[in-house]
Amino acid sequence: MDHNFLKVVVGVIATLALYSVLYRENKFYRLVEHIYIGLAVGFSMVALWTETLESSFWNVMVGKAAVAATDTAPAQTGTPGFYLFALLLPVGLMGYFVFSRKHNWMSRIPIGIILGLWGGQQIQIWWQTYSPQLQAAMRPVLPTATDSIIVPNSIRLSQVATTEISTASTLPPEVVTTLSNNFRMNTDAVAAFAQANNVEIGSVQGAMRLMAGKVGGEVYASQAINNIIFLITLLSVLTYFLFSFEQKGKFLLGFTRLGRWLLMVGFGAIFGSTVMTRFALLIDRMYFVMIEFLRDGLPRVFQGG
Amino acid sequence: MLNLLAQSTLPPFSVEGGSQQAYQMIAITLIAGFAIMAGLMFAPTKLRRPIAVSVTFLAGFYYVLLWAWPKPVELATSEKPLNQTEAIGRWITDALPGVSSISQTLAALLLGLGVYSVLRLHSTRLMKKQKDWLFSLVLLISMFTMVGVGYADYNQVIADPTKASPSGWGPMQYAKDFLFDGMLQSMDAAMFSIIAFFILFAAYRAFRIRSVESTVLLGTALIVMFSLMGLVEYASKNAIDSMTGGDPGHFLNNFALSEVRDWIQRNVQGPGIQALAWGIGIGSLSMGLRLWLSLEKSGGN
Amino acid sequence: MQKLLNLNRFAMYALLVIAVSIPLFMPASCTTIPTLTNSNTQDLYIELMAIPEGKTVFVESDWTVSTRGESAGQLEAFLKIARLKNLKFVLFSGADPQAPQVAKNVIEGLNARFEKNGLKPLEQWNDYIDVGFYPDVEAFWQTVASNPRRVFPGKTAYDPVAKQDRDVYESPVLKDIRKTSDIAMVVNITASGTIDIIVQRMSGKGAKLAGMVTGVMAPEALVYYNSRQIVGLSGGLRGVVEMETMMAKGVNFSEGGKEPFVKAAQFDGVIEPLPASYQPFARGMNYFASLHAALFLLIIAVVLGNVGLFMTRKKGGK
Repeated sequence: MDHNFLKVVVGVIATLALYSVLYRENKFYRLVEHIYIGLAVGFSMVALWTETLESSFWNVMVGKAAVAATDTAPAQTGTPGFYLFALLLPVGLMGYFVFSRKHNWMSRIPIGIILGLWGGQQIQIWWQTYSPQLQAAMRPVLPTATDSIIVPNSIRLSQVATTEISTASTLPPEVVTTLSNNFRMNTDAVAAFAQANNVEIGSVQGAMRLMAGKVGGEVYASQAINNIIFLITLLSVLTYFLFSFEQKGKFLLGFTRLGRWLLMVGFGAIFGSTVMTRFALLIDRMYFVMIEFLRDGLPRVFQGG
Repeated sequence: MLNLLAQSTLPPFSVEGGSQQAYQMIAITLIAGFAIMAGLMFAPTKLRRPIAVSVTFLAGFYYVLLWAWPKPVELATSEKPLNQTEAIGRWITDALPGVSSISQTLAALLLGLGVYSVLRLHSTRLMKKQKDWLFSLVLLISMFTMVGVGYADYNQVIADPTKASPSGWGPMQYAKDFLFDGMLQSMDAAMFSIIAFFILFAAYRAFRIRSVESTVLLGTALIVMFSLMGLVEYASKNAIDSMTGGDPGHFLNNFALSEVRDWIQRNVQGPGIQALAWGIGIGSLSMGLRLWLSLEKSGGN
Repeated sequence: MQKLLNLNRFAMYALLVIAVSIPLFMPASCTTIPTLTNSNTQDLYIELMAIPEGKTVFVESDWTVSTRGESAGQLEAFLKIARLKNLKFVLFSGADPQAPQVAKNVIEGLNARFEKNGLKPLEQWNDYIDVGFYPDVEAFWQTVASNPRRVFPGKTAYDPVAKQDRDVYESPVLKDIRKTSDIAMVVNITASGTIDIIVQRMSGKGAKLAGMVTGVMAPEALVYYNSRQIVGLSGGLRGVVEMETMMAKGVNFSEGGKEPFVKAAQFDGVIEPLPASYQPFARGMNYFASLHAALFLLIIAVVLGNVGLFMTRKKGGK
């Protein structure tokens, strides 16, 4: 049995042991559960040194001596040793006084430093996080184009605009005008249009993009309605979370109720998405048991492969 | 003597890296640190809160200064600051990597608290032969095996970097891979995948249409779940295409499942979650200020 | 009708196992599902493919095998693009001490496939640097935002040519990083809320931000995409499948005069499919049919529960 298959076998046994809790809690489950916690804690002890403390603490504290160049390697500059970092060890260890009845107040020193550092960052990050979102939420609610309720497939071009698109796309102006009657077409329709007008497909696509861009610069009634729905959702959900004062009045109460309903849309989406993740994890485990072990692993062992 | 690190460029409170002097200074600092710690053990009760509050405030004040102090223009190391404001600004910016290393170190040392807690709980249970002490023994054995193998593997790879890749693995690397990839990771994956069973059964038992809220929740969840199924979404698009003849500008396209999902996502789900996030943001800001200024009632008492 | 309300728990568990397992045994030709791509995943792919060759990306990998079903596919998709475009990347974690090792295992597994297909494996020092685990990842990003040249003091990595450990800033990965705008992109492959921390500290600093998150985190991360704080987002298993679809079929790429399978209206250019040596693009697709079965089962379970409730109520009313 090779190393990789051995890993798979042990993994399958562990999986079955942990799944046995679905029936009810049992000793097999508890045994594997304890091995799992032991290994996880053990690995964290290793990783805290190898992945973090060695570089962020030890190497900074001790520094590094300069190394001269060799035939194969270039010279390396040294780094100074910041010996005051040694103070972090007693400070960090003070955290462990949390278990001492007499001195547990001392554990608040390292924890206070971490919380203070976190708290101090909050002022700066608040604006950096939410100002782009506030900006993005400022959406136009009044339509700027009245020729259509929904975003149209056609555009009425002025003489100047026709010339502009004609020059940019190298299509004759009359073809541009024809195209402006329907500038959203699928590939087959574009090819047919190009052939019928004896022009390049790429030029037609270019002109279509320019026309879509012109339409995109306008706000149509349907878009304005969408934006109003967006703002109502945002404001009503925000209102729902106003706990600082008592909410009175029919309008405010109705608005917060609407906020609660609309919030459920968000939660529904989160539920759907969460279910996907949970099932994906199960599928991955089943793939491990059914495919990596049963279908691919076992036959290889029996065939001596 | 080779000294690529010129003495004159040494920053304050530092010595030549890797030198004997470095280790001497570390030993002295450690002794001083433990002496301060011992001194704090005898601190009078009335001084305890001010000490914890001051330390918390000073730590947070650094980041407030970093944010509020005028930022110096990017100066080359050889350039001198124009005035005191710029000099302080530069000092604050230059101190950031050091502050970051301090917080990484303290956070890592505090993460060790969890480890210590597990160790303490299970060693007590084992020593006193309490209920399930055998499980505690298993836990401790697996923990120390992982620690031993993990460090042995790390040191061997440092000494012989060819052992980092599977082609150069020795027994210790195989052992570490077996423990980490074969056991720990499999158990981790199995443990978290169990939730899928519970979620299925909970949805069946509890996901009921009883009110407007639950109806909206269920309706949206169904739309999202159907749209996550690529096949259903694709079929819905094809059905619409067959009605519109594949015309991308046709009004009916708005009723394809992907479009409906997209509309909900942009206009209702997005702002709803955004409003929730803003609320949490304001909460975090006020919590941050309360923690920094030790205004939390239980802080520092 | 009461029966509908009291289906056996174990029967449902067994049904779920059967439902997700059967598609796994079916041949790939039966389980390859045509999938439409969302604009957020399209933008992620387009932005990744637009990074100039040889540039450096910061990859915060915050997942362990517990979310392998989704996150491994995300990381693999990124690694394939990194290989194709010869991108360099800095790998680290801010969420779990196990995460760097898990990511390295994925790289090793993919390297074996790269070598088999005649591609150059991703090499430590030259192609990527693993800088470890940062428990205070807030402070980490604060430092990156201020000066990326001073984030890894004391961090060394093994240089296979010089045959010694050297300062990571001397590596090809980090040697040209002087300011945040030198970082071509920050990609967060995460199973937790670490994307918030990145956005909070790196927004507006000149580096593009992107997320490859699990389904649980996707709805929240979408807010950042909508406000353009991140340039693209791949969410959950569906996101992995969409990335694979684009790798296999390209973007706005038309073959034999056919309509392009992936049409990105927001993108003027054309991205060709990845070369055959990067196949298979199936990490997510292998699981996708099973996801269909599981979701279908859940929907049936919810419907049955509600029908049962409705009928019982109706009966009680009479």
